[in-house]
Amino acid sequence: MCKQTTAPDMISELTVILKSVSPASAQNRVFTEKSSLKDGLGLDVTGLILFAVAVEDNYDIRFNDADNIETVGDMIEYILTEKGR
Amino acid sequence: MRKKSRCPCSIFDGMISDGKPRIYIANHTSSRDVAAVLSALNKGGTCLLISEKRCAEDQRLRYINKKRVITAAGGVNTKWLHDALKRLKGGESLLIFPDDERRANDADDGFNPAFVLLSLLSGAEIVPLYSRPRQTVFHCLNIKAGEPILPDSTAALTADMLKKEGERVRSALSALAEA
Repeated sequence: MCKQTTAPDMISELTVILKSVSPASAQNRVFTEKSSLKDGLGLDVTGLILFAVAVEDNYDIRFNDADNIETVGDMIEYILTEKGR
Repeated sequence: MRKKSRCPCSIFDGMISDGKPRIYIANHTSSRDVAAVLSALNKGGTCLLISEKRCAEDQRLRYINKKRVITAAGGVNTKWLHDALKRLKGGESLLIFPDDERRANDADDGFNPAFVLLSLLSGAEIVPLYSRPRQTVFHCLNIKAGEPILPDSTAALTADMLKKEGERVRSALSALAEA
């Protein structure tokens, strides 16, 4: 079932996913579309790949061509593009 | 008929040859070790999983058959992960060098435990391989295989859990070095 999701909705969903894979990173952290995935979300190499896998499972997509995803906004745009295919 | 290897005479101690796909985690004392260990493992059909950056920098790696190499891009690109899982499920093993010597001083990235995720998703055992050069002219190695390790699949899948399991493998490699 599809529904129109907005960027704030997706940020909430991504926050929940982040809390599940890296509770320490998500603690006391509020991020926006402009937050970078590494510095803004506090993710290292390991955390980033685990976060990516969790997001893939949640949205049923693949980050196969995802070379320029630096910020939360880039990720949301990618997810919405993939879901729209 | 045995094919001639470019990197001859590496000796294996403790290897299990039952055809099951495994994730081999190896140390390297030299950049020449990568081709040497891969060549020694290649009878069983093993792919090398290596960072894209490292692959571009290391001239020796261009001589390795591209079909036997999976390059991992950084960031959130997971193509390498899915390719690696496909190979494992197809019966091929993987060889990974998590201690990238070029980043040995970086506390966070010194021993990348992403291989633990591969093991959890595929069910493949992790086998630590400790190699020590025994001859410098042809770069022959003594390679010792440790006991297979399976990460705890009941624990919550978090970044800290991957690091903890990665440290377990790192300790197993250190123990092989001291043995």
